[in-house]
Amino acid sequence: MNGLINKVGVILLIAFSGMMAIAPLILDRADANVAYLILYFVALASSWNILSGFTGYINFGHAAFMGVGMYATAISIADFSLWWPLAWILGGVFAAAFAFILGVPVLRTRGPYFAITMLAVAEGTRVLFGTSYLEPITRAGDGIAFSSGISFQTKYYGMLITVALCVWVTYKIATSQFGLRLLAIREDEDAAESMGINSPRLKIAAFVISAFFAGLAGGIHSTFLHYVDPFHTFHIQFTIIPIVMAVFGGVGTIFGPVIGGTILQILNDFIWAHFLQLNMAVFGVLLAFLILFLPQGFLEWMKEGGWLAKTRRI
Amino acid sequence: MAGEDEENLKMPSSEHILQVQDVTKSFGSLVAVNKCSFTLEKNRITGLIGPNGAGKTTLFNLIAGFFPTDEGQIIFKGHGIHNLKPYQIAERGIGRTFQITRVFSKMTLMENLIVAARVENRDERALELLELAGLVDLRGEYASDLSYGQQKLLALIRVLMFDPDLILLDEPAAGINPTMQNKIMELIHTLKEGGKTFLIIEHDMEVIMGHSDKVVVLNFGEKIAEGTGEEIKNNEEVLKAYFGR
Amino acid sequence: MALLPIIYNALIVGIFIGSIYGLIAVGLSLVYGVMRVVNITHGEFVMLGAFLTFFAWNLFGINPLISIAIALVVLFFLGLIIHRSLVERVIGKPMLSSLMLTFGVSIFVWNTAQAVFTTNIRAVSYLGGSVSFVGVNIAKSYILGFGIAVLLVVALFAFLKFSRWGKAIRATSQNDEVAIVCGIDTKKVRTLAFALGAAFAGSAGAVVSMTWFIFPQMGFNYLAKAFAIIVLGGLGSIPGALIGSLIYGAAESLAGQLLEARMSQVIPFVILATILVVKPSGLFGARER
Repeated sequence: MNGLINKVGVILLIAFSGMMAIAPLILDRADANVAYLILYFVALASSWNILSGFTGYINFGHAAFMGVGMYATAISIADFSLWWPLAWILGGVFAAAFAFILGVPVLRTRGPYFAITMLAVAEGTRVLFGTSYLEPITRAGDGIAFSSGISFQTKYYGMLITVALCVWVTYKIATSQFGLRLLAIREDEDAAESMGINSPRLKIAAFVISAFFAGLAGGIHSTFLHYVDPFHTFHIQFTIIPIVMAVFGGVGTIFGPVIGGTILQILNDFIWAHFLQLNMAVFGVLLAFLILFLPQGFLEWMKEGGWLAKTRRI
Repeated sequence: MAGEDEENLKMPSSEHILQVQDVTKSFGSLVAVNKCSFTLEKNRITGLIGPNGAGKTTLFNLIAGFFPTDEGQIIFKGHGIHNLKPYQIAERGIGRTFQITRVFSKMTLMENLIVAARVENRDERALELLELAGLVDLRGEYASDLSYGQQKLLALIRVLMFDPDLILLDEPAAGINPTMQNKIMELIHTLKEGGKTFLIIEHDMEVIMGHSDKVVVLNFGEKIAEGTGEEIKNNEEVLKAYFGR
Repeated sequence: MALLPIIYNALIVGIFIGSIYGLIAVGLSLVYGVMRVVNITHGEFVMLGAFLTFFAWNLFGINPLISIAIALVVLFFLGLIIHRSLVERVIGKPMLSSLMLTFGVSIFVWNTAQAVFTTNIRAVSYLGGSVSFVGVNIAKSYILGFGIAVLLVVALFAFLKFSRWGKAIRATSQNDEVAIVCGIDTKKVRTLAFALGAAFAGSAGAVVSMTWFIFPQMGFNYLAKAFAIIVLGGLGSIPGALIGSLIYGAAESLAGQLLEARMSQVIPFVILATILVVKPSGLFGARER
């Protein structure tokens, strides 16, 4: 039974990847958009998972890294006419740098300190980008509208590659000593340190990697939207929705965010179409529900129940 | 003062692997450790005893770097360590266990052992240690599935993975049956023969008296006695501390 | 040297602003102290208190001053319900659980509020005008806020010090296992503390409705400020929260005067980051290990 489900899982994975790979070629634009957004949110959920899923440090400010990446890409294209692939990567780099600078003081803290500080960071960043101090760069509240001259196909595959890369990096982390140490930090940071695990350094590394992918995905998305502004770019939904996706699928797993992202984005899309105003309320309730009844997430629940192999490889 | 760095103190006797000098630590108005001083000889088992709340675990936490000292020095192999972080102290060769075992529950025994290892042959070493503790058949199990005694053994061998010279054990025999206790004490003696130094907190007097080369007694954060088991047993201050006036 | 009057002005005003924030922070600190939960929904309680006051005033002509008391009672019961049905279930589980749970609930509350109340910005213009106090113009609503804050905090202190339940709360904060052994029903204590926290937040919301703007997303802002304050004062210390709130109020006021007004929203993070780097245990907090 075990073996069968594992095989089914592998087949589903391949089928899913295949479908996502050919989506823009066979679907009409509206449906392809849906597929694109699935990839986008999977990227956000998966990147969030790299820090929060493995170390247990809940980052309530993930949108800040995504947003910084979006702005970096937008500005580099709008003001400096940077070639788009470089602009995308720059988004990731800026987000990673931001995480590094932030991480040194903020990761010294534990649990609620970290979570709420990151919440304040996200809010503060949003406000900062709207102030007149940064206006020359960010155009403050007006935002930046720009065109990139890239086709939808390119953006789609850019996002697909980002997701694939992020999942692959997560796999590498999960099956490595680095990943095991991150899990030890999540289990019991003090005990881990008393064994010689250099927790500050490891946390910052995970933080930076997580931010990079959020920034990269954000950068690509900014060229999709052709627009950035403080209110929409740093909106809290880009933190809450990926978190719920990752928790649903299973924090600390590799494919949890993929599963959660796909299923919940379809839900999200549905809500957007019918109950636009309440989409976050639904996710809020879903998160509360998950925490009360399925905190380990779907994938981990399957492993615990014996339906899936208890391996760190998924 | 805790702020000074002792880089290379020449110690009067190179047999003293750890020196605790006038260490003081307070939490708000509570003075947990008060001008405590003692030394540990290399290759010996030293017991640390005292009534509940005497400051024993706080002392461990100070040595292991969980907090810095307010005053005083802690010198390990000639270097001051009282300002270092826990992982730095572990790197220098001090390992510790906790009163309530803190193994990584959602990780297998094998993973628990290899997670902190830096050496090439860590898998072999882990298996060796599992053999030593008699846990090798359970290596793929989650640590949370072990019995309490087995977890204590795991915690002990886990510390050995990075080959520390000084090992701090916080109540290694507490809460487990006599057979297991003997097993653990045997292991400790074997390791001592192999060159390790131990500082053990224990409440079980038989364990302490029967196995320690020296005993340090704390009460209200102060050292009230230091000597062999025999000397301590008949020490007035110690009797007062445990049994009242 | 026109700077000095500005600084003086900002500091005095800051004390009044800080007192209102302090009312919010005290509730958050109480909940954390008793059950080690950082209640992210705390900000939403403020928001609900503010809207309650607004609608009571707008629809029923109820004097906002009375609404302060109404908010106290209504939010008390709301807090009670939320605690019993949700928060109590994650007590004893890792802190992540309560963080995520209260985060989810807060998102639900403010999004629903947004849908129901719309995002229009409101205010309760009841107490207009200002008075002169030690040479500085203070809005009357600030003075009211200060007065209410002092009243409620003093009442809380008296309650904690002299009443049976207050002592039970203090005992549970210090060591819940021992409290159980002493025969204290810690579950009831937790519910009480949570409900009190919500009540304080709600009454602060009523005050806030008269001093600043009301809109559904306002909760997060106050949460961030309250959290910065209790980190500054030391997690779990109520006196620390009070002193922290005055310092915070002064800092925010100064920032608002010297820098762009919007920068006051960046202040929570700046203070948090500074404290966490310099002295993580805050001014009065004990380092928990």
